[in-house]
Amino acid sequence: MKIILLTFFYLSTFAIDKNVSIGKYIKCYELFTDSSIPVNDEILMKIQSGVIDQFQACELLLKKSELSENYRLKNDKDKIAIKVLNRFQALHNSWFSSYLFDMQKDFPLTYKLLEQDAIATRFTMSLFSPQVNHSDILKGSKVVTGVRISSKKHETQKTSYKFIPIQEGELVGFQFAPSGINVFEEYVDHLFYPKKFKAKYDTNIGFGGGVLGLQSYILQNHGRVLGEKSDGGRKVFRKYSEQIVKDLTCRSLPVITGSAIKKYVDTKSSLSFVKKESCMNCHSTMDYMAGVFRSFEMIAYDNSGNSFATIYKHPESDHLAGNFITHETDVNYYKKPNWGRFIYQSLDNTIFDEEIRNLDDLGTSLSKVDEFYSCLAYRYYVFLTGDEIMFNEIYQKEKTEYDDLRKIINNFRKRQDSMSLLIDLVNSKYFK
Amino acid sequence: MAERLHWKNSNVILDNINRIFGERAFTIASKEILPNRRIFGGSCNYMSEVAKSKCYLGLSDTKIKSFSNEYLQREVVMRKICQIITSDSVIMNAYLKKNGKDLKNMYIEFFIDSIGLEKFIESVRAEYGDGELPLAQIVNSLCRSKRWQIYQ
Repeated sequence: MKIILLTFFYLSTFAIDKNVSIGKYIKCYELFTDSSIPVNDEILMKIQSGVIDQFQACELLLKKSELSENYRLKNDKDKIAIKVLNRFQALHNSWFSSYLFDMQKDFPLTYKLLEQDAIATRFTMSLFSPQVNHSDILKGSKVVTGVRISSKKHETQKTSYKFIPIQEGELVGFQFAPSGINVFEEYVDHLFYPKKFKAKYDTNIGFGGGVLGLQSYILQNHGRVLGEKSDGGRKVFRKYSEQIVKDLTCRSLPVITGSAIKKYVDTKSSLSFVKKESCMNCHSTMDYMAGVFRSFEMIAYDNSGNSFATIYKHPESDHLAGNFITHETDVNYYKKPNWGRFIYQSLDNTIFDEEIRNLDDLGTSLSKVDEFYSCLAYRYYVFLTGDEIMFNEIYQKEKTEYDDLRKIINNFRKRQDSMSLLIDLVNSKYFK
Repeated sequence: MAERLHWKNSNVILDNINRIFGERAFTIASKEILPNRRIFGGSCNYMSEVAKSKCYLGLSDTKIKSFSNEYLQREVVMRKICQIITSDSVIMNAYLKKNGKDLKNMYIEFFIDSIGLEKFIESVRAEYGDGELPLAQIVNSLCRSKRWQIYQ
């Protein structure tokens, strides 16, 4: 008996009519809400009564979570709208591999002060807000935080210093984090032998370039140690550069090779990796990008064990301007004006070698790269289809099966609208 | 090119079990599935105090990809869950109370649509004729079937 029934189910898996009238919507529902569909689902009933078709139904489900002008859910009482918003926030968060704030055990309050899914927040806001373009993710110094509903009372944190902790609960929208409410005036630079410094900093302010300057995102990815200042030689924020390339363009270093990087090789340098072209394939992109992160330093409020860590940006000293990238150890490197280069070759073979003076410049450069758009399209494609193709395959012209995907990406780049991108993919031949 | 199967993730499977068998079965399945999220795919939400409890391994569970193609290990886990659920008299009594002994109801409960229903009924009747049906065994087979666990 068992054998007969199991054989039946095995065969039926492959014998299903692909043109079922509700199958595609059920798939949309389960993917977009991360839950099973109730038989009395309002949209499902509309399909069954012939009012709308499945494609319209999938679009309707997504549009339920559209944000108003103040970035809150238009339907903030609609449980499905809340589910969809939270589901996409969780999906976007799963794309970015780092989840630990550096030294989290020594500074546990970091999790009360900074949102661990801050980068995902910008992607979700861009998806559901008609006012936010995809390239806006890389602009500005405002920090976007979630507006969340919870049965817990939202209280000021009771420590030796006061701060407003982040909200927990179900996401119902977004807001720009108010500056001036979490401002601190001192910090330490070491866990065991701390020196105390006097300086004002606000954990609700970004350093420009949208997600690139989020204190939360930097703290998850910077790869340096507490109190370490960039010296322009071995100590620069190169791991952060590498992570940015990976997270925002779906690529791993090296992203440029060959003659384009020869001018960055210096055989006279005291640093071994600067002398070798093979090393500079990666170091040119990493180290020159890190030129605009030079003034960052990981700091902590104190070393009490009930404190937080964050990123401090040292003020620039103009009088130290001069040789911006030395590739030699320079104790004043972190004080010098931010300067770097964006060195990158995109998969459509465009070479970028652009001067950047801050994180907004870096954001502008990245937003000109085709992969910034195709990476998002690729991630949604994999999410919708379960087909884990290699990212590079999209760019292989001989793979004609991705012609439609390439057209969708081109449209997305022109329109900058990630919701239209998602809907185009749902309506494409790939989402069967 | 062989068509790949797109498996439903841990969250969707658990929610389906909850819908089909109720909360008791959901609790049983959660104990088996949540520690094995990576086999099933599907992340959890750490920012919500309610959803946080589903992050069995903590923050790292927020980074699990949205689905997984690891079907062999999944099948082992699902086999165990379905066996426990269909052997539990409280769950099965509630299930049969909801669906009666109607094969059609049982089928649609799992698959929502009725594609393949006739073949299913035919295969059951071919085996048992009009006699008494071993319902727990049939439900176990439905529970273990791939079809409700993949996107069509």
